[in-house]
Amino acid sequence: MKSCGEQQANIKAYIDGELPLWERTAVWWHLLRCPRCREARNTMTEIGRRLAADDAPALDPALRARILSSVTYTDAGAARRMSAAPRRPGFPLLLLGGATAAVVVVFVLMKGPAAVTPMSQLKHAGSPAASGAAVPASQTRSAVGHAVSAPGPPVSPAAAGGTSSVSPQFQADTLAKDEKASSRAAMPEAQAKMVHEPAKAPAAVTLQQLKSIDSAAGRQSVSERAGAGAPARRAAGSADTGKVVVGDMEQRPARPGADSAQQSASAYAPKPGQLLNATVPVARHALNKAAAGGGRRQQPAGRKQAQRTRPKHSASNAAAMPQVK
Amino acid sequence: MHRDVELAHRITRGERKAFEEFVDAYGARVHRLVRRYVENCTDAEDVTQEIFCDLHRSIAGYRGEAALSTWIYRVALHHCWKYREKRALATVPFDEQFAEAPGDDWRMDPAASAAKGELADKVRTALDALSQPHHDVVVLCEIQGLTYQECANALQIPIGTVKSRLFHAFRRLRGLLGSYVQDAAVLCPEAAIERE
Repeated sequence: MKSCGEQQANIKAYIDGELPLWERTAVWWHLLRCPRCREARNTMTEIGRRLAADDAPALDPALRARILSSVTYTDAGAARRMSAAPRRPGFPLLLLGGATAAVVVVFVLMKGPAAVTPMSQLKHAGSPAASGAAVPASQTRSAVGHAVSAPGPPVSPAAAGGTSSVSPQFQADTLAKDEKASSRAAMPEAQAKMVHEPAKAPAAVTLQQLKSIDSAAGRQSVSERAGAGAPARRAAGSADTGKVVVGDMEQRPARPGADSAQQSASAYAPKPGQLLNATVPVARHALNKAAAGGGRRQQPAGRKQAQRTRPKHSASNAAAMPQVK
Repeated sequence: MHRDVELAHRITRGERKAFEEFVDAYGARVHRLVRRYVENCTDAEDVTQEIFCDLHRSIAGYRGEAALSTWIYRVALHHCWKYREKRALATVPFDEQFAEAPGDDWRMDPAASAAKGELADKVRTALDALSQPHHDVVVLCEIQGLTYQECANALQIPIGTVKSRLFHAFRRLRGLLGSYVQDAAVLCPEAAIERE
């Protein structure tokens, strides 16, 4: 027989009908004899009745409508199915980009070196100052990764002035294309635009290569063939077309007819073997000088000398600075 | 059980009618449960809505291992606990929106009606004074009408623990409400008959 305290622990379960038969009988028997436990039973029943009394019978219609409107139904199943599928974000864009790149590559390959060698067109147009680095597309692509050390594929014979250190077949093809392009390159505006415009495809060639090509052909060097301002223009043109390594710009002996723009360009020129990544503004600076005055004003040989001769932050100095666009 | 699983599958497939049935069947019970944990009506409605959104999202995970109502209570209780933790309220203040509207017997017997309303308030306050485990079992078993086994499934505790917690909760409620309940039993005819 359980004590009164032990039976009280079962009173709530007895009220709720959660006791097995034999325990329920025991509690019933105890309640008959114990007034305290009967009092406890009555109080618990009343409390339970009061607790369950103020329940809302049904859901508020406004809240029901709110709940139903907050959930998307048919789309939810579709969204779940969609989310189960593997996602490939941007795949059509990737495809489009790849196709565009392929078209560009095919176009460049079909056009050959003439498509990326505006200076060769200038040369054939009869301009004596137009001489630059013409680089085939194959070398252009290889030069992006390793600009200088790439073994030299055939340089355009148009750029090299018809020198024949390249294969005869390649030279014949390129000359045929350059003949077509020579009429377009005859316009001076086109020349200036080609010089000033940034190149569409980067190119890399060393002047050392150009020189070796020239020497192999037994002709004049590139710098010798070019007229006044040619080195600066060549530097600008080649720098505009991409990374250029100036190998012997300072070591080359100054010719008697070289103008001041050449000196200025050589003063800003990097050391041999150095990548000329930042030579575009420098080359343009020299080009502007050559176009404006043709070397009538003697420029200082170096930056330090310029600082010594000119006062800093003067208005005249600012006005005298070339406008590089 | 099979009906619950079928309803869950229909909701998972995105049937609007199935979810309406679901809300009609369990909306009132869930909202009643939430009202025992959330202090005001607006917050209670918000929490109820969140619960049903969560149920709709996660009903695909219902496997039919327990009754659907048990699973719903479990989700609803988690939301209520989260709300309470966020609010960090030891007790829920009295919200007059929870108070019962005066019924028709108010004109017949104002004293008895006032005593009844006061008792309801006292019961609610005492219930909120319980500890969280005791509060949970009282709400589920007494107010929601779950069996001990369903309550144990919803709270994921043994059935003996439910029985023990319920007994201790009622012992504490008796200490808090004893005099009021006896007085109310005197004033309330049904209680007086039961006592006799």
